[in-house]
Amino acid sequence: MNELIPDWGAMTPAVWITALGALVILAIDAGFGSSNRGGRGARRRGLLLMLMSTAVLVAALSSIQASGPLADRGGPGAVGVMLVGLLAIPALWLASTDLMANRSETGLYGVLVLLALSGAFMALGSDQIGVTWVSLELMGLASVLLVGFDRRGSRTDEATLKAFLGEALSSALLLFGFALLFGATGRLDYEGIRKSLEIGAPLEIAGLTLVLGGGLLKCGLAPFHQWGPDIDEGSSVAVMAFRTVAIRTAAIVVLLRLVTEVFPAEMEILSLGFAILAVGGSSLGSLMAARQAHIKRMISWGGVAHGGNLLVAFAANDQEAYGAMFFYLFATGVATIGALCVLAALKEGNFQGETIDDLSGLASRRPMLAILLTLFLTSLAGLPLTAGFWGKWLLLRSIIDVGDAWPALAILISSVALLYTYFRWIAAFFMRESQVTVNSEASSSELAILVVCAVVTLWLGIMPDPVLASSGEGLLEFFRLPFVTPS
Amino acid sequence: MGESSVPLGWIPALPLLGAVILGVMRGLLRRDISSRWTALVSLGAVVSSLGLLLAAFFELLRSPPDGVLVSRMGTWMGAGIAPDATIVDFAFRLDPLSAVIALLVAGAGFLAIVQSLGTLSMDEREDRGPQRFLGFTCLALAAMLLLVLADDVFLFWAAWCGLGLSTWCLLGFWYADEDQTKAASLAFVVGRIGDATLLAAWVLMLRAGSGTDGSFSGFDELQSVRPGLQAVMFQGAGFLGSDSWTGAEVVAGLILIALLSKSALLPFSRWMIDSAKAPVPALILVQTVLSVGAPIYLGSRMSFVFSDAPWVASWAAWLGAASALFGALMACGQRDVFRLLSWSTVSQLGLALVALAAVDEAAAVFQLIAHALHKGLLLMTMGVVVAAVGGRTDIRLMGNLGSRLWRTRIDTWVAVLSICGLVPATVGFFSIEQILFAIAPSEHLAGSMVLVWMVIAAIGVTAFGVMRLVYLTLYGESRIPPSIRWAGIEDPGPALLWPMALLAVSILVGVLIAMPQIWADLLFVEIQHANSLRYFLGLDPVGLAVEKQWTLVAWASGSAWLGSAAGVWLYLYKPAWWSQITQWSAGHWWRRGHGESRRGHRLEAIWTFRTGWSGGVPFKWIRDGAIEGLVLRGGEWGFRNLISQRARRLQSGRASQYFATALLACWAILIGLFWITRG
Repeated sequence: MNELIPDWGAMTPAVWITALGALVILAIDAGFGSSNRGGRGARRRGLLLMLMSTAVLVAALSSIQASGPLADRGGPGAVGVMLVGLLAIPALWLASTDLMANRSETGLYGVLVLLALSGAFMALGSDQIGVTWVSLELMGLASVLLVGFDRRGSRTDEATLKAFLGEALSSALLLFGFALLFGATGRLDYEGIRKSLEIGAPLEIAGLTLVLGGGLLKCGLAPFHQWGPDIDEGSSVAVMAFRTVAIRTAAIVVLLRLVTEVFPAEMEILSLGFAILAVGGSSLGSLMAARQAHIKRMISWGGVAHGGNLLVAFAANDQEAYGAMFFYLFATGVATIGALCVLAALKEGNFQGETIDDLSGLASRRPMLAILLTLFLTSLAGLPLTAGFWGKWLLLRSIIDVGDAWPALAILISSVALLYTYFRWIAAFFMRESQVTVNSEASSSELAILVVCAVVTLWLGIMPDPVLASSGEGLLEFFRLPFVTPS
Repeated sequence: MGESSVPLGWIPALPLLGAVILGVMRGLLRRDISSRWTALVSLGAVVSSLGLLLAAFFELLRSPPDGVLVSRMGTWMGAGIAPDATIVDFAFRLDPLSAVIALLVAGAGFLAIVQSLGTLSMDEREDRGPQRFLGFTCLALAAMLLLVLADDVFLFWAAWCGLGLSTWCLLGFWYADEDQTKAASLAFVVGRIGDATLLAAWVLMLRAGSGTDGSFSGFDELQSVRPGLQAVMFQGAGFLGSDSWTGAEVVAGLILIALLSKSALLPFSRWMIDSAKAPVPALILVQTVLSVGAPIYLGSRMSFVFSDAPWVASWAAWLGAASALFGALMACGQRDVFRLLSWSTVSQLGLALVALAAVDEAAAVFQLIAHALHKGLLLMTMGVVVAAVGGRTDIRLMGNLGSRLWRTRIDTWVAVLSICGLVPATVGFFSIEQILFAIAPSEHLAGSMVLVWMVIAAIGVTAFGVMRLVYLTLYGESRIPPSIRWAGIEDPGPALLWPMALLAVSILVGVLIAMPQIWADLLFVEIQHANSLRYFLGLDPVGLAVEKQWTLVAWASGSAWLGSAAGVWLYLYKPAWWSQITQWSAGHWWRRGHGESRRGHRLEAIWTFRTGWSGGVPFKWIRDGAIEGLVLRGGEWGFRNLISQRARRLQSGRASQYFATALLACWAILIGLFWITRG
């Protein structure tokens, strides 16, 4: 029965650090009292965010250094922890001016974020379906609470309910799937299930279906995507950035580990299915994004399209493709956070600045912000000299390399529609008259995030790999090398 | 291949610097710099770039005949693991082909800047002055020069995309006009189709060449990919010509789509026509350099893909010839000066594509030079004419302007003689001949003789259409509105006149660049390599027999003279006769009561030529039905109503529907998995 007991070794430094961080913040929060306004409040928020960021950064970096169980259990988890950590930090800082400034439960926000991250890290490091499920629950529930954290928005309640229902459905599907796999094999660990599964048996197929359904729903990928835009529209900018970038990245890497480590034999069969899902998601996301007049919904639908593009890596199923997928996740994540940060900087009092009319003529009001938002949307559209271009290029090259050109072609076509969408917005920034007179000031933390995101986007776009050229190793290698294709 | 002593990278960098200075001042700092400084920055950037280019050009002339100058500025990036790694350098090359086109680009850019300084400075509205425009112009020139000088497919592609962006900026310059922003966006989106296919072509080529060498993204190494491309096979669709396609054919097809979309050939012509309302300097840049130079350079550089894929080359030739004929016919029916010239550009570019398909780079490049010269001049003179009638572009409201604008009329005639190919003293005359010499002996083009006849017909129709333009604007009765003072119409100042004169002289002197050998043998004694362009580009002499060459010259000239004579006769000597024909042919239109006075009837009769002939059913169907209806409006309508509207229903906001969809998707996955594993 030993193999049935979860291996708590999965609780790597990353998990300990974030979980402990959550506890420390809770304690500090209790000690400081509830005053959160004025200079003292700002200092307190700064301290809190510094603490959280340090915890997350140490956790993320520990995944690279760790020679312990996490790194041994395969590269994708370790790289996933690092990616999620790096993307979570700017998303955290986004909360400093908007979400945390006028609220007394600052500590609660930090605790929820760290709990969600510890769930994510645990799921990424886990190799037992039981641990995976519990970790995903922790991550999911904390992120649902985050959606409802800022109750000022008129659509927040609806968004929270939908987030909860979506999480519940995906957890139910995953649990059913895991239960069937356990029933079929009597094992909880990935390796044991893989070795004991009878390929093509009804229980295995049903289990795989439910795991796929639940996993795709967790990631918000088509055709399980409908919740996403409604939830994103109702949540605050900071929460949207955290959920759609950090949490989604974690979910995608967990799904990747599940399908490649538990069902490697089925990947051949699934390849066509993933290609169809990729093309479908990419086209649907692009088409739907074109119709949106609300920028959060537009970015969210764009995210569905990017999610579709990512599935190309699953269809290609090789080391090169997964490396490209990590790079793409990072590039689109940075651009999404940057774009959302511009929105946060534009927000002023009751003015949300989220519809196309609000953003018309942005270039005449805030030229620098308009240029930055254009840069981030351009990267999301995958134009050259931005990180997004290389992400798309590597992904499409990987699928062509394995001999399937049609998904690449279909994605290229759908990316024209996505480009139309983004340029419709960019044209509004530069070519329409401004209809509002609100002039907001970007806070110093927002400026810092914008600068970092812009530099990363341009640096990865212009010089994606300066090291590689001379030494044969570099950034793209970094994303790829730790990945171990399961035998 | 030698290292250039001139830093080639600075040639595109200088205009880019100009664009950055003007753009940062205007776009970010919101500072208007004085018009003198604007002129100094933009002209200084382009002139210094031109100077560097000339220095490099003379260095190239001193190098051996097949010499290439390169300038490597370091490594840009790399991807993959050796030996499959793709290493991309910041490298520039100057060989005969890129030198010729770069010189043309820098020269045309210089003239466009001079022209815009003369015309745009009057517009004082915010953001519509020369500072912003010249910033875009410098950006476009930087992109174009980078494209021509890049020694690497990635650098080339970045420049190709930059070109799309700057075309968008230039055509959408008057952004407050919704039509123009739409037209500019259309140009951009259509261009992106080409960008995507070009990228796909590069991917396939790099893929075919992987493993052979660590670094093969440079243009020199691309030739080594040819055997690899021939070996790759794709399953094809029989109706398109073959059951299975080689990699070379797929690459040729992808590059063909890039060429068609960038140069506005059928079925992508619409963007060029819709953008005819853009500022004249923007039209000069787009129609003579950006949308012409880039595709012809790409086609010439990659001409080997067309020799490796004969049936794609045939498609290219047929599409080119069809565009040439169709564009010429459509030009005959336009009443807007710039729409007419835009259709004429489509026609001229069609001819260049035919030459590229016949794998005769010299003919294509010479057509590019000739087109840049005579279309640039014609656009400038018509800009003067339009400015004289208060900015109205309708040729029904012109007439007899030549009697006031006599210097402009001389320039117009030089351009017209060249574009129609009427006398053997202009570049246009010889460029048309060389295209015919290229396709007539071509064995790998299907139906090359029909193509020859299509080109000859296009020449005649072009001559008719251009004569129509000249006589309706510069000759005949004056029909200008009473609000315009006749005595106030006069030739422009020297700032505009001398660039026009320079172009007119170039049209005449340019003959010396590429005179066909048969004419040199006839006119001069003992001149070798009369076609110095062909010799400079290192191409074989024309292989067609001398008698056949003269036969083609006779047919082409006959067609041009016939078309011109018909135009002169109908519009100068027999306007009444023509009026009767058009009344008869457009009777249905007539009865609707258009045209209120006798004068009105006469004016309508002149332009109803449009409804009478080129707007007739088959052409109207192609224009409105195929191009606008199916390709553009159909696509947009389908996108909006069939796809997006339907898809929107999936986004109802009801959680119950979301649940149902998720469960249905699970069922679909389950059924799919069962089907695959059982079957």
